Amino acid sequence: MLEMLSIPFMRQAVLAGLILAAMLAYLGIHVVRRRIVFVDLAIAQLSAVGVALAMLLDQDPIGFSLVFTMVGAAFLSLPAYEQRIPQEAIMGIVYAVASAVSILIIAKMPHGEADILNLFFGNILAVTDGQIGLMALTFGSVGLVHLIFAKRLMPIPVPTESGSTFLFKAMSWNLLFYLTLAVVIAVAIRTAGVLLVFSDLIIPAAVALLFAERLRPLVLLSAATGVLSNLAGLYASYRFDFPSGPSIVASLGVFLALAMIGKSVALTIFSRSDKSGPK
Amino acid sequence: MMIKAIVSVFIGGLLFVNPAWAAPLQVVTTTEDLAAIVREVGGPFVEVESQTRGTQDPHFLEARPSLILKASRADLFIEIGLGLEVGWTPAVLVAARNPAIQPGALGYLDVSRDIKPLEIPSAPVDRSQGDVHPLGNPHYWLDPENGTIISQEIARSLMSLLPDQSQAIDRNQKEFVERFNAAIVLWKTRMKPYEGAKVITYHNSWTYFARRFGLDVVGYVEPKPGVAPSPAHLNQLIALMKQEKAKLIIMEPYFSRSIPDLLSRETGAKVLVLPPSVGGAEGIKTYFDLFDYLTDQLTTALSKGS
Repeated sequence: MLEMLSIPFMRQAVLAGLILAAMLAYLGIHVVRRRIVFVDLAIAQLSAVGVALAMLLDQDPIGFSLVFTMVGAAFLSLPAYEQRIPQEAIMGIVYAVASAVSILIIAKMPHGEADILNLFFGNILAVTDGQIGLMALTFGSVGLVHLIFAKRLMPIPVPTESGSTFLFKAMSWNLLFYLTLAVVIAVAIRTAGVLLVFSDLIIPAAVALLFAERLRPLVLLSAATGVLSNLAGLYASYRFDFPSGPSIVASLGVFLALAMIGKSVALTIFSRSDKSGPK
Repeated sequence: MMIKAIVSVFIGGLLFVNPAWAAPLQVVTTTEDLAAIVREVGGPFVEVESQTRGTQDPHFLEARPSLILKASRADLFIEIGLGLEVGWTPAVLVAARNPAIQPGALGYLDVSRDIKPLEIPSAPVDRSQGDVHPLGNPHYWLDPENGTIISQEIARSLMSLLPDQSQAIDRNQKEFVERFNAAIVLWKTRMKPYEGAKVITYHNSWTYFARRFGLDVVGYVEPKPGVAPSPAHLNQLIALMKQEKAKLIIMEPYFSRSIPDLLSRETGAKVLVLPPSVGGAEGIKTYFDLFDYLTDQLTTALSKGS
């Protein structure tokens, strides 16, 4: 492990991985609790469309992708008007169509497909100081927003019939959440890619939800899982010669599997020890 | 009745005899380099179009309706071969349903049949080695001395399809070779001072060029063609580049710059984006332009600092 950290680009990859893990682990709790797991895939692909469009029009990719992502997230945050289509279906559809649109845009570009394809797997090994700085800045600001408005953003507002004022307020906090999520995802996928961002968001939160219920332990457990899996994944990719992004995702999967096994083993042991004597 | 027959035969004969009235041969090639050479050899007798742009990776192509349509109307289909386009030309040829251009017909040409390939694998290949081409390295058009062979192959096909233009085509081809060989001398002279310069390339696509112009390719960003580099490989590559004092990281425009930029930061080598084909950059319209551009870019990059 120490040997790995002596290599400059591995150090940067580890730093980027830690920043991503911490931020996404926290947001993941929100995402899983609000049951909008597919929203990050949808937002990530909208961001990719923004980047593709920016490249086609020769504009700044980060600016474009942020605008696209935030507008898209704002629409996704609106309560479903059509009650017959569940929200997850909408998210899945947005993901699929946005993926197709980004490919259509690429088809008309002379080159640059490689950069778009990179957005799926990410390129954490090649992260620059500039990218790390941008992540630290945006994630720090988003974290601050969430800290200040923690009460309004949690518990999750549920639209009720108790008056339009409440609904409007609830909708605007909902919108704020979606916007912060959009900003984080748009910045994160440039480094980590869609696959890793999705996994860093959902899997640590899933592990935490196995064992905790209140916000603080949830966030701590989630962050710990995220950070440890990222380190383990990067180390595995270094030691066993694998691409880094997929290694981290696989390691997240392993952590979840171990957590689930561990929990059921622990439950069995504890329920056994309660029983005394034959029934 | 008799008069109608005579008149139609007469008019038919005129069309057959007068090349200016006959429609030009419709030629479809897989790359812009082939198209450029077809233009040199075929002149006014051909109308040629390439299925890939010079900025695209010729290994891959998403079959689009317009490509298949063009192939279905072609008289001659030309590919580089040696497995370069094996990912998509078979599909295009099947979908085009054009018997004139199927492999084996006069209207099909695989230019590689007379090329001596480099890097023919000595052991059986499989997917574990990445995207290795089992018949040898297919990027042979980047050795300008293969230009003669390519033009000969193309001339032969054109002459078999346009027997009445044989003399003109033969003349065009010989003229092209003369001009081209003279240009090769100039390019070699330009590159001579930099013979032995150590570089790395993104993909193993510059072997033929390097051999002809004396560049020493010491490593690749992709350890196995088509497989993204792992941390261990990057580490080894950085150490190798520092040890050999590699000066340039040569990459095609359709690859991502992030890893080459990383290597440049770590070793001080410069990233040089070079198009591997005609049409790959502004102003590269002919096969001549391609090597003019490449040698000019390389000599400029290699002369700056050491």
